Amino acid sequence: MAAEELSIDVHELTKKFGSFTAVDRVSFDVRRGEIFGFLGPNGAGKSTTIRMLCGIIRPSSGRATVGGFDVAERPEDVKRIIGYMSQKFTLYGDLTVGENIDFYGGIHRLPSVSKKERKEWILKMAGLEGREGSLTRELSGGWKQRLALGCAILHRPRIVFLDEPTASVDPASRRDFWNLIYDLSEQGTTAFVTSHYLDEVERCHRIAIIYQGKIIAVGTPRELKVRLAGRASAGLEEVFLAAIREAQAT
Amino acid sequence: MIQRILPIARKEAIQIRRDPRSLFLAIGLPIILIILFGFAITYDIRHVPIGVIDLDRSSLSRDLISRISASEYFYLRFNSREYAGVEKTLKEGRVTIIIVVPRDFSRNAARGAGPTLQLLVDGMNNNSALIAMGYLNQLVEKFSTDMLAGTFARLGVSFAGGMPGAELRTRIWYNPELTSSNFIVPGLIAVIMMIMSATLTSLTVSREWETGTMEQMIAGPVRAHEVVIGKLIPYFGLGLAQVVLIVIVSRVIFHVPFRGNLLCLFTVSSIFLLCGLGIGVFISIIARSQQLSYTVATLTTILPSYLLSGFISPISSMPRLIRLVTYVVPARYFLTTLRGIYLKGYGFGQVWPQIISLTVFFAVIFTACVKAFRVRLD
Repeated sequence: MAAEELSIDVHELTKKFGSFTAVDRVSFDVRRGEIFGFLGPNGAGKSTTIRMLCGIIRPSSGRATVGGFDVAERPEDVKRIIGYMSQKFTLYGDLTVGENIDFYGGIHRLPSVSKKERKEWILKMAGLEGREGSLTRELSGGWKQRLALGCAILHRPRIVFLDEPTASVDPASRRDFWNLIYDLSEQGTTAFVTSHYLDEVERCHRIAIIYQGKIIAVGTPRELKVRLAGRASAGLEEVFLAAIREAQAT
Repeated sequence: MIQRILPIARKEAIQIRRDPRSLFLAIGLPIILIILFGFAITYDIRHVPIGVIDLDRSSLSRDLISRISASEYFYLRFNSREYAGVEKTLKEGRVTIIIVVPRDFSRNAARGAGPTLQLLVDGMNNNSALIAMGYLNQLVEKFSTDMLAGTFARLGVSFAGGMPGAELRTRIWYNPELTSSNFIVPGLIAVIMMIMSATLTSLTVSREWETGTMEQMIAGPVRAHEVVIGKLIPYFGLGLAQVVLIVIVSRVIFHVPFRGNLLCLFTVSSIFLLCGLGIGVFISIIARSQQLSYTVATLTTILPSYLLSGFISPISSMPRLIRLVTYVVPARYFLTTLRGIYLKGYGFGQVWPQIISLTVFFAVIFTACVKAFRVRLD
């Protein structure tokens, strides 16, 4: 595969916090336009990996490039071409919907013409038309999360990193949310999504299972089912447990 | 780079506007503090409670005592004939000074033997005791000169041009009535502005670390100086509004004369404000938690601005080591400048050294902020 087709390329990426190894020599790659699921229990190293790839924490060792830029050496270039939605809701609660959008538009230096157009698009996408003047903290979960996604993709990033994006939203909002991710993917945007919901990552093109800082399996949901559980009809839970068993055996 | 500073500044300004507490903290509190402390702190000693033990009971001693009690500086609590039971009034703090007129006071005066008076002084508050003693000294001196003149007159000698001997003719400049509020209020402005500006910004960065909004911001392509400048701008505006109000209060409520250059005042205040705001931002960056940064900001500004700026006692009378420490206290420069501008009519021609010192301080603290601010989480 040609290098330019790779959105994310990770080799032996490691992050240590003192004597604790949060991420232990993980390697994987993500192709352009792919929806890549990062599955693992809480504390497995998902958020740490995502933060390294976003250039907001420094890897202890190993290499990773995002959109062709080395995350340790050129974090500023990485930050220009990615969108990031952290696990916590991190828009400003005391700003209105419109002000939050304006702020992130300003940070990414969108020209005022496209700022206006993108703002309208986000309000429509998030179902927040007419609520531009509402304080963000007064929105309910699903709206907040769609607005957060909107602010993360406002500047049309080539790659979006979504850390547990649907952790606190209802099933209907979750479905809408995934439809959006598919739309983005079809337009060529790469999506890197972490989750600890098994049914959710089933929607991804490919999955990596991370457990105690190590990647223990990578492949399409179907491949993993066949390889680890022995049948394509297996539930991902079964796959996940089989992967853990296999990892512990070696 | 300016393109990213403005959205940060705008966002910060909206947040300040929506937060009535920080608005009150910025505008209301300084005014309340100035008024409160401006009235509370005074070096003007008036109505010092004194007691007299008059063992002489002569017309001479009565003349002396009536002069003392007629003075606005003293308030005569008692006039006793004997020592008994009097000592405890000093201990209880009912009087600050006791004047003992000895039994042979008038006899010695008549003999020309140089009569003496005894003073018992409560030295607990050394400052007010010293000042009260000074006033008393003047009174007694005047009294003895008059007494002497009377004696000479009885002997047929008159001094039409006054008594022979050296005499001090004092003229006090800049604050002729020695009104202490004229001296205190400009100092208070420096102390209060320092505390307010540092505490105001001490929360801005740490709050964003706590809520996680900073993580979101630094996942965008922001640079340290953009965040620092963007955060300083709205608070700077707020601080200037504060200065205007304080200047008005000092004029309207305390009648502090303003003799200097207003433009100069605002220039120095602006740089001083930036120093205070910069200290707050720096602490906020380092501390990463609101509680810690607020505590550190108040501790590192209140005491130094109060004690090491020359507000309480003149820097020139501090030990050398402490004097060196005062060079890194921005309030020191601002305080000197403010008093000079207010009372001595200083302009740029006199205060430029302080302007340079404050500018250097700001340059250092700003660089420290930019260096300390990480666009990373670790």
